[in-house]
Amino acid sequence: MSMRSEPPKWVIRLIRWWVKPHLLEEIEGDLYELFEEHLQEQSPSGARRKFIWNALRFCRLSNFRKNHLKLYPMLWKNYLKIAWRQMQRDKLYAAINILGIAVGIASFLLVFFYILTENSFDRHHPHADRIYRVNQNYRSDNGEVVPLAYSFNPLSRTLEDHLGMVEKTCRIFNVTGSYGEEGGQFTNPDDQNRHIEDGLYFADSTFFEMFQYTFIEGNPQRALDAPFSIVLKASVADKYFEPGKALGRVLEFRDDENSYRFTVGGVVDDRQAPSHFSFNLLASFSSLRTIMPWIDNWYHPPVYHYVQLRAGTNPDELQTRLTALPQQVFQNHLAEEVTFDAVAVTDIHLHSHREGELQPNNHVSNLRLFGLIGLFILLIACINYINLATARASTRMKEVSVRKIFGAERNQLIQQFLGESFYFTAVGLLLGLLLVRAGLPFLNGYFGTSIAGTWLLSWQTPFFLFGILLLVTFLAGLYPSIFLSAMHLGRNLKGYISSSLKRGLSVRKGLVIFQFAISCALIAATLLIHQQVTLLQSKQLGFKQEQVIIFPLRDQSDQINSEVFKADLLQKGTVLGAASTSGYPGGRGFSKFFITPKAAALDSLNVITLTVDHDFVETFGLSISAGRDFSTDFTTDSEAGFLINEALANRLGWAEPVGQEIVLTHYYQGEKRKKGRVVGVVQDFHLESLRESIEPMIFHILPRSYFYNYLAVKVTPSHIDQTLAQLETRWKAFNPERTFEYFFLDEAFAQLHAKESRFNELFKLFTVLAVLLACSGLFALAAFTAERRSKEMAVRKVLGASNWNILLQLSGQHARLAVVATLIATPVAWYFARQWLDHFAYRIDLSWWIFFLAGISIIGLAVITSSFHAIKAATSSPAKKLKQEE
Amino acid sequence: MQLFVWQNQKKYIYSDFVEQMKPGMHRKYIGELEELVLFMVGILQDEAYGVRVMQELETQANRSVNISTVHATLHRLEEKGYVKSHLAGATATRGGRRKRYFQLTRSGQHVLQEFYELRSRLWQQLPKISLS
Repeated sequence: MSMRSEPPKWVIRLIRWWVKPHLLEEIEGDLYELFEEHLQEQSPSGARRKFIWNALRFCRLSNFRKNHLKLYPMLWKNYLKIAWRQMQRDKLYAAINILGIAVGIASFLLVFFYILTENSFDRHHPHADRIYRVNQNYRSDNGEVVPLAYSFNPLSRTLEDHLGMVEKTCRIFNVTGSYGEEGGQFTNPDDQNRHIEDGLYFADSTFFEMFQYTFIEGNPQRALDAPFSIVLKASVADKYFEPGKALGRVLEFRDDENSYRFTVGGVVDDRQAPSHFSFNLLASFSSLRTIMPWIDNWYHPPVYHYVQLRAGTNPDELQTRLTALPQQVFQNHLAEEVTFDAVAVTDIHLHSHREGELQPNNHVSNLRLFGLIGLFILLIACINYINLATARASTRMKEVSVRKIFGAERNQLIQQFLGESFYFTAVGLLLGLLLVRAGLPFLNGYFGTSIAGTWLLSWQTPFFLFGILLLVTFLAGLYPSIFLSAMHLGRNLKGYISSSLKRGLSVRKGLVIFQFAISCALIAATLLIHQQVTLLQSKQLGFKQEQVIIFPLRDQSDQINSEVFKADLLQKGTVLGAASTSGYPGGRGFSKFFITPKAAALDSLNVITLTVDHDFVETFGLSISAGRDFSTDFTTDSEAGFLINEALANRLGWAEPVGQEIVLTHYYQGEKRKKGRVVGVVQDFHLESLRESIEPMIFHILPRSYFYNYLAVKVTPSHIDQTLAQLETRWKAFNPERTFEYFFLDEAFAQLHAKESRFNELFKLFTVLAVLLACSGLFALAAFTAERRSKEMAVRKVLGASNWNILLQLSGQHARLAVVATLIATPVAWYFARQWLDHFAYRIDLSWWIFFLAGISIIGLAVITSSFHAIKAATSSPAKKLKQEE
Repeated sequence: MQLFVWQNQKKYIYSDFVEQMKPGMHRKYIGELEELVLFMVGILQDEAYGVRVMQELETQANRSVNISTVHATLHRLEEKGYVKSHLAGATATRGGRRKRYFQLTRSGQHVLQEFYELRSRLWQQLPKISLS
């Protein structure tokens, strides 16, 4: 009979394990008989398939050996005692296992809570499943669709009139971009206590009916009913009023020309359930009718629209009607250019990445990545346990044999070793919980995550923890318990290494390779992310960012004073240059207005519009690639001159942009049209983060307008402290009542990439944990092998082996494993790296040295870890070793 | 209508149709496959073991049943006392493992007899028209 016609061994092993002993003989016999018959009729592989199928069919419950599941509680106390003695005997082993499991479980829990928190965004609103945000998409002439997170004011009325399925609508207006992102100045008129507040929004009175907030003062239903009502966060309210006495008091807000008095309609708790939108001050939308009477148009400013559908409405129907909407409501070009769609409010935080999101959202792929890392770390900890427990098998041989001689069933031994892993895991879990408790505030503070500690207190947590306990117990303990309980009785007592021990060795090698492959991939990923973030922070941005200081301008008096201030600074020579502008690179919320070029490939285009002064290009260190800069020599520049960037020139298809005619439709105290000619082209520079590519931009001058939100000054980099002190004195001279506030341009721009930086840091933390765990496992494993082979090494030494030979013998095998791990990890890491980099408009080239470095470092770590013990073995005296009796 | 009656800690089914057959007596319920297998054991006589019963089911009754099902049925019949078994007859094709041979017990024969009588009595009562 050839080897090929044998039925597979594992099936027979399975049958023998499963089937009750008294049924086994006939069943096996029948299976073999049928197999032989099938061999006559068909191919060996077909016969084998049938054999497997028949055998599996025999694995039915009625044939199951129930003894396998029999528990022996009276022995558990003894097992606990033995486990305790084992821990005492080898403290390194116990410490590495318990710490490893603790760290593994803690990382897993943290990642799990993080994912839970990120998924819980906006789910706490009473009708969250029926609330949608309606977004506008804008299709430009070249067919490119720009998805916006917002739409414009008239949409709300349109939705109520045309949709027919809407129960409530709510508008949110973001002051950012209209008053400058640094917010506005508020005063308590009673005591002239004034502060600058950001996070000012306007919302309809329905806001608190749709969105759940905890009120400290006031009634959520009526808080925003009247025009000029305002709801404050507790931390904001406490700055102006005594705690608990804010309701009904007045706060004054200063605009460019006017001041407005808001009545406090409510105070909400600072701590709210996570949401994609959060405010510091929320004023009633109806106030905008007075503040911005021109708001009711389809072009500017952006307004966010939320709808609550009637109960039982089909969300697909909403999309259908939104698709039909533009044709129904628009009679002009907008009917072709605008489309609408809806996103569920619960999906915004993880799935919506449109232009002008209220707050930066998270990517669901990041969550997946962290989930994977959390699992990997737990797995590495489990593998450490498996490796150490099986490597130490020879120390347990005699115990197992004696137990077997006294009649222990295999099942009992499995229980014993599973029980041991249960004890380890339980201690590790408790330690891990302490780590989570301690690590949570640090993590939230350092990485800006908002993982709620309350997850630990919810009623599901004990069940979940128990689940983890069981999972880790089995993951870590199942293989060792099967392996240890299978050791052969007679041979063990005589001290032979049985073949099963050798099988354990190869499994262990595989697992070490797996651990190191994960570590290697993580190291490569960390290097890669680090490199990419560094690129984002250091790329040639097209402007000089180092020595520019920016002063936010709050109101019109600021703006008027700033002109005098600027002239003064330039005259005294304190600064190298100064410019007023509506936005700066790294800022947010740039206004977009429509331009109508005269002779171009496109009829009209919505472009980022910066209102600047004559010194803008000079101060920010931009370059002019064609034509000239704005100049005071040409009086027409401020009334009819435009600068455009190269991206806009390309978009309009202008080879000779200078002298072309453009009409800009902007909103300054109502709709205005500004007709003019292009005087120069600015070389492209990054206004927004490097994730985005450079968008078309236009620059114009509008003297004394409220668009000038900032004054930027360029200073000499040396003696920056002195310069700042001088600046403050001069500033105080012109604005005695204003606080002196400023920030550096490079810091502001780095802020844009804070998310990547934090991601980078978090990734590093987890990578370090994973690598440390893998190394600690190898460390203990190496300690054990060195100990086991100490006599062999002693004999080798006596026979003339050098220290170097011994070292190679002992740590060479681990280095080989690390090499294999590197070879496995590299292509996998390469693939995922490519995917991650695709998110970025500007990215590093994937270079081989990252993977080379990761591989080298893993191999290096493996050698260092294991040679610690190898050196000890090599340098110890062989005579002593050989004298020892076991 | 069927009622479950617990007797000797085993599940029996009190069935109308069995009662009609033997008034006043509680019968152990026999399934359709069990009945067929019981017949095969009777037919095969000294050759009734798992594989043969399975093959016989296929040739005689055109029923293809997995070997594990045949085993389960045979052991169920043994529990109910309709068949008895012994191990014997190791061959090379079976890797030296013995077969478990099954034989009808007295009550097994009795049950077969009852089945035959019941079916033929019912057959007699069938109106002739519906058959042609």
